[in-house]
Amino acid sequence: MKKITLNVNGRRRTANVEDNEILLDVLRDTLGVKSVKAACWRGECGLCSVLMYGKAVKSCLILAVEADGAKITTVEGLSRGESLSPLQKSFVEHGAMQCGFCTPAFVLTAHSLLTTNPTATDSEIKEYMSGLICRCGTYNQMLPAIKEAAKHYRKHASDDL
Amino acid sequence: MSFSSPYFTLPKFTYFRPKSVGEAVNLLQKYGDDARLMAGGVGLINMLKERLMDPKALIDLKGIPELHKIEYSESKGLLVGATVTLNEILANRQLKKIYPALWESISVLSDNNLRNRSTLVGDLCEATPWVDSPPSLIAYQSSVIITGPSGTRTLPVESFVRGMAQLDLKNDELVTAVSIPKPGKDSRGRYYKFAKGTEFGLVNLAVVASGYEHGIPRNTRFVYGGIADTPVVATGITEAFRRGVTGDSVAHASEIIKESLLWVRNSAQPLEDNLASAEYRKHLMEVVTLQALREVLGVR
Repeated sequence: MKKITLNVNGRRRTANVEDNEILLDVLRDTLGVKSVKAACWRGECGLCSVLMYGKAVKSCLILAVEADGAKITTVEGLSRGESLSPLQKSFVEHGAMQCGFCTPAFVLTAHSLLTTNPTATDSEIKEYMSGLICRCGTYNQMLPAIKEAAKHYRKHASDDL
Repeated sequence: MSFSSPYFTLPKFTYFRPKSVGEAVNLLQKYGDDARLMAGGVGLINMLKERLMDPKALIDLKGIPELHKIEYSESKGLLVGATVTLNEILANRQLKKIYPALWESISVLSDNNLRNRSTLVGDLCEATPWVDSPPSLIAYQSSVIITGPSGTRTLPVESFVRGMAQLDLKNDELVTAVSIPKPGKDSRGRYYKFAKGTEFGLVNLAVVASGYEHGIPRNTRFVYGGIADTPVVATGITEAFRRGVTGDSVAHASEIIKESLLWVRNSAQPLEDNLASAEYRKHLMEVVTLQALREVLGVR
């Protein structure tokens, strides 16, 4: 057992983990962050994506011990309490989800894209999001949702969102 | 996880995070074949989940600052440390101009969220036929820098990759960096990946051409991936370009194309697997080769 410390959405969290434990499982089962979804466990569906030091990564292929000290953002970290971020609102307004299972990963990955490239073109958005799978097939609603939200990212520094 | 399948868990191992290359080598010496090196972990953790390996010691290289360097200079070319991620390479737009074939091969490799973890050295060391970076690394005549108990050695990538998941690397050595020389004058490069319905390229081709005289490059490297256990350097195509430029360059270019395609037809022996037959792969080889030839020769 090793004690690790994570900064999850600005809160300091600690967990006792085995060397062979996966970050995804520690986030979900030990720390109770259920917005991080487990589906394929092999880096293909992307639904376990979180932001690690601001970069979108798939938490099913990261050891919990590797992440010791890391700053992790999950989809809860984008909203302020009950108030959704412009990107989250845009997903709702465009109906960019059906079952909602993949939504946290898509929102987080889109957030990381728009913070680095708020003028992303359609093809850049598609390419950037290509590691994520939505089984309901709401890609055609997500694309305008992301493009609409991009306006806010162009106006404000990402920290204000 | 409350599931019973081994796929949801990892085998037991001890995790080490050395702070220096020397410390990593000491661990390798201690654990020998029971040790595994990890950089991004994307390939490794999947292989652990599949129970394809069962190491006692897992050595994470990310705690070693000197391995996280990426440096470019006119004289030495590009040096990419073992823990530099693929996205860290792509973030440098200057490299797209200098090493287009390498840049393209990385940009089509897996996806953004994985490229934030995967490393170039890790991709190379996986040494499976379909990994994208080795053909372009070989086309740019790159070398790996290896450190072990007796010091450092340098080896061309094409001799480093020995076979399917086989490397010229002892169990107490590690690859600290890959060195990619600056290509010759007027260099052009492209990477072609023919992958349909799968992330694995059925045929990959990295092309680097330089030393243009009258529109014909004198130095070319065509390196195929996905067609054999290791990347295949098309020696026949290099030869076809090397023969002296005679007569008018249009006729000469069509002669090179003819000879190169003949080499593919007569010499290529692509593998056959559940993704594609050998015959289909050979056909694809001819298609991408023709595209590449037209590109480097600037003909339609």
